Amino acid sequence: MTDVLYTLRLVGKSLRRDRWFTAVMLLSQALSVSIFVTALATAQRYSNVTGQARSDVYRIEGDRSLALTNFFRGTQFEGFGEFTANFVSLPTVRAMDATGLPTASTVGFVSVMTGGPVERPPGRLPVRFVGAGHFELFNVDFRYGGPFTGADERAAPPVPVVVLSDALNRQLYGGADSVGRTIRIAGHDFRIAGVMRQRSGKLHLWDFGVSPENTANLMVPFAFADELRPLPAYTWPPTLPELGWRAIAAAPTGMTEYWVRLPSPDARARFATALSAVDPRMRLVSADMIAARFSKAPAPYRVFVILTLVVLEVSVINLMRMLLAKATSRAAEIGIHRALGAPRNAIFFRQMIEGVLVSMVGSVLGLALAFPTITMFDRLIPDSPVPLAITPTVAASTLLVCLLAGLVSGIYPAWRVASVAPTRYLGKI
Amino acid sequence: MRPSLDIAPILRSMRHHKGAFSLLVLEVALGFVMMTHTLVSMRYYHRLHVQPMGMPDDVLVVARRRFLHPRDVAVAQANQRADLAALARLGAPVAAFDTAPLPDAAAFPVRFTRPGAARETLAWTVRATPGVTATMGLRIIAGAGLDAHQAPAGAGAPVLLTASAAESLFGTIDHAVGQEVNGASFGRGRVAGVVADFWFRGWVPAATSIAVVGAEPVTEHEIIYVLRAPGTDRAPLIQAASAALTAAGDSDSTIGVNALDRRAARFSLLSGGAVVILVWTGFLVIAVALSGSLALASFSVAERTRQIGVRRALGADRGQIVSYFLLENLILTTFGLGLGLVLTIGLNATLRRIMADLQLTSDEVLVSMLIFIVTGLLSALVPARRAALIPPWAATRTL
Repeated sequence: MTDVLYTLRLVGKSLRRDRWFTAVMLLSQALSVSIFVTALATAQRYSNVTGQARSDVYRIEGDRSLALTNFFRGTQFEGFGEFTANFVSLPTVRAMDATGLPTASTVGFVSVMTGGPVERPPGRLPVRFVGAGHFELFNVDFRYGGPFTGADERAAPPVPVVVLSDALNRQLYGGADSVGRTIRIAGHDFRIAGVMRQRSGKLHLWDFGVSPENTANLMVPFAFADELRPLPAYTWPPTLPELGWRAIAAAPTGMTEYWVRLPSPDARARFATALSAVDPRMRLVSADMIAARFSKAPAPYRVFVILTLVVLEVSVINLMRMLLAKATSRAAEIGIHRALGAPRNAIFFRQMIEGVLVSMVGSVLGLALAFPTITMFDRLIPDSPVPLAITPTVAASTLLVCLLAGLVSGIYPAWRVASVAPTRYLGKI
Repeated sequence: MRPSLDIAPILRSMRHHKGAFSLLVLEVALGFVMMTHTLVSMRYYHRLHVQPMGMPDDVLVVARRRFLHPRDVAVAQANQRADLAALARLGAPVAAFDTAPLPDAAAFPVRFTRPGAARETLAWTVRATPGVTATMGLRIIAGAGLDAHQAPAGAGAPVLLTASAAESLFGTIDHAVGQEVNGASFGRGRVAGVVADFWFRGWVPAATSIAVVGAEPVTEHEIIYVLRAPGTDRAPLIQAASAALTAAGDSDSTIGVNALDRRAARFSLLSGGAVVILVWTGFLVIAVALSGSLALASFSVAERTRQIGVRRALGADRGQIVSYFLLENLILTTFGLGLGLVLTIGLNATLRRIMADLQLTSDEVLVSMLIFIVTGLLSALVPARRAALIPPWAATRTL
């Protein structure tokens, strides 16, 4: 213990002796880490979305359009073509709901409507139509209030209640508690029942495939679809908007996502059999498998992470050079230590501590610098209404990478100064 | 004997300090890798940002009538006809569209086929009224616009194909006019004309593969009009269009009229922002490398005082000491750039598997090389000038 404290005191002295030099080392490490953290935060927004749905939740999916998948391959929209598999027709949904096998189910599609808070003139309002089952299928956390229920939907007439996303609540009500207020959609008044809490810096699983300007939306019970006549933002194959809601809802065109909860293997097997009878191209895909598809971030963000990793490598080499130069300049001091009996591993250990300490302090500074950097990123690249955030995963990954970087940058200078005989150093006195 | 400025002693010195010099070479190599790819990415996003659209976006005005309550499509189409008549009286070309130019939303393209032919293509559809050609300033290459098109009965919707779409579907522009096409969303159509490529639907791949389909495009919630102002001052037309649509008498709707602003479109904000972020990232690399080199200046000179002293004692003047340091740095930078070039080619192959558009060209390589040679020489100048101040007798002090 005494040895460790002694070593730390020596390292502290060494760093204090060349203050400007230490400052430059810390600053260059901090700047590199700040941009690396920003890249990780951007990638995290669109990846690693496991745990958002219950383990017995499934989505019904059709065939992917191979032509569209190839069309978008190698571009920044890679994967967009695969969303064609997500859409099923309402007749299919009705047929499968009629089996009574799912313990909960929901449709899910977005439509741009006209509306807004009753106190203001109406404007563009993205609306997501879902069933109350949505809140049972997904692990939804509420910032204010709570969900609407199946009873609200089944009432005659249905209870006009809606749930706002965090992002829309921020846009319309400045983030204040809006529960109980009235919002008008296509001429109908709805009471706000709850505001969902956005997962920090992460997109909701059900928002993948929704264009960014429609992600800040509100959830309306599907029971109101016939009154509000939504026009789904996406249909596959593309259909004519002037057909109108009733025609689109009756058509075999895919227009909605359809999620079900099937807790027992028997229910799953029977549901799959019934599904293949309704449409042989359709299949059940588990929510876990869907989440696994988003283990990788979209192409531009992967490129950004790779580029910032190279920046971090440049910083590691830079740190290595500076530590080496510093150690070499202290040759005489090290020579005295060695002559007085300090073993090689003590010199090695001290150098390593210095490298890791600089790297880790620089990284913590970099994490702090990353806060203004991600704010700048959000302003410059308004890619999503979900703000970037330094999540615990991002912070832990950064510190781990930086610990590794510190070890790598410290090891060569430490080995160099520890491996030379004391007589060589003493000659420099 | 004055020591001449030749490479041999520099190479010997490098062998002596091979650890420190190898790290410098590696840092230059990695910095070069980063800089070239920052420039490649910047070129890609900047090209998106400034890409010519093939339409006069700086004189276009977008008007929207949003219905407060949804209404039947037939009623909405009647509204559209009344609105178009009112807007036409303003004297500016006008057409109704299913979506505004530069929509922020991504959309699925539509599969187009020809009866009896295996060839097919994907194209973005724009459903519009006949005024589309004049409003959007589309240049007709073959056939006629939707306004001049006389369709035979039962021939399906008239279709204008861009040159890219026509070539993709028919192999040539010349044979496209009058041919029948099938669009997965609208069914049968006949090619009325071929227009020069334009860029309507954002920044997706093959954005110029477009089919303009003649229709009365409305939804149960909204109608969109595009007008063309006589000049870049669009305020008078915006005011007049707003008044005309309000006077059209549908109180159960809300009117919004705005100048089409390419800079406010999502693709423009994203590509512009990406360029700024990349500039910042490139600056960081240079800053990290340069600050390290400058901070190392005093150490590198102190470490080599004896060597410099000997050279000065042998007759080297200050200019030669500066040249010695600069040449040494140039050699190291050259090694670094050589290694960096190999690594760059390797990384580019990897990145292109992720984003095919990140094509490395000689421009980025040359600009990056220039940046590193200049910053390398600048970073060497500080220790070089400091070393030049070392007097010849310093050689004796540490012998």
